[in-house]
Amino acid sequence: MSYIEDYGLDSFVRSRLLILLGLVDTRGQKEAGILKINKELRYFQYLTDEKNIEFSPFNLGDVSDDIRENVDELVECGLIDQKPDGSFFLTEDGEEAEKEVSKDIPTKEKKALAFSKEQLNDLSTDELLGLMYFLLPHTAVHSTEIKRIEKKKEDLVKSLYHKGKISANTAGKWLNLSKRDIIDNFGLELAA
Amino acid sequence: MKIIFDSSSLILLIEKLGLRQPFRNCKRRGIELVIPQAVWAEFTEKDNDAELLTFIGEIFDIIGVQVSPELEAFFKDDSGELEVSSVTKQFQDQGIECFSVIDEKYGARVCENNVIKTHGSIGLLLYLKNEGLITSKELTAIGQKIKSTNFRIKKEHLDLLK
Repeated sequence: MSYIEDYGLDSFVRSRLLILLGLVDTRGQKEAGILKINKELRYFQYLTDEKNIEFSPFNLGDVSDDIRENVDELVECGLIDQKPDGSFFLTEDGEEAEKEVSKDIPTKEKKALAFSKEQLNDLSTDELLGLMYFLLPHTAVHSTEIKRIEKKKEDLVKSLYHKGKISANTAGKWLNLSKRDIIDNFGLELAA
Repeated sequence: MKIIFDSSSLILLIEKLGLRQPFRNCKRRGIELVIPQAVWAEFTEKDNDAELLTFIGEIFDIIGVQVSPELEAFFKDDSGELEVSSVTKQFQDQGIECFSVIDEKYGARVCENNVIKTHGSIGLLLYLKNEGLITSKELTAIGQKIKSTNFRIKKEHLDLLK
């Protein structure tokens, strides 16, 4: 039996969804809600310049009908399931399918998926929206939240910088400051 | 050994703490201290005094770097960190003993994910001590001096410098 043939897992979106849900995040969890899944795959697309997933700007920024449909189909196939809190996770069959799919995904993409999940998994909803809106402003054109997020911009940028989600240069670019200004104003915690 | 510096570590160690002798000792020992050109551009954005620039010119190698395409995606706004990580990876791939010095969490995370050997400034200071290029007493004094800057140091890291 081949999961790839039986469940059409040669599809770009389906295979990346399985890989993403198979990754353990920094809180030791694999599951993710639909908003996080959308944002993680959008961030992955930003990193890799892949164009295989179509996104459209919506109320909370870029979302993909492709992703929603494929999540639903993977649930119907029994490869993923949904918890009462709405988050999705791999079933036992899903775990096996993920192992099979993983062999065919380039290492570069797997690294980018892992980094995307690590980037976004421990953010509050506002930090998540802020990161995506400031990084990809065109995704916020129809956002119902952008005005509220813009008002908190400095606080959100500071928090993203301190969490290590963005560099001092990026923080500076978003706030029209230099890297030195960011270090002077926000400080820098030294690493070992 | 080659040590490749990002601008924030230079700002702390050379500019704010005024360290000179440990780096002179490195040079004497044959340890190469490397600053990629993009880092140099960031560092010299501010008008630093002539003594500092002359010191860096004498002790550090400022080099041009061919950036690594696989790292470009992670550092779209950060030419300095892109060059630091790229050149460190290139040295590593050539089998040259080296590490980069990056204090920012984001850059350090990208390096870790790409298996690029990286320390922060604290790690560098501990390396200098282990190599006998700085004394325990000097290290403790540096730890105290860091507290007076806008660079923050965790207590557990400060304890390592005692």
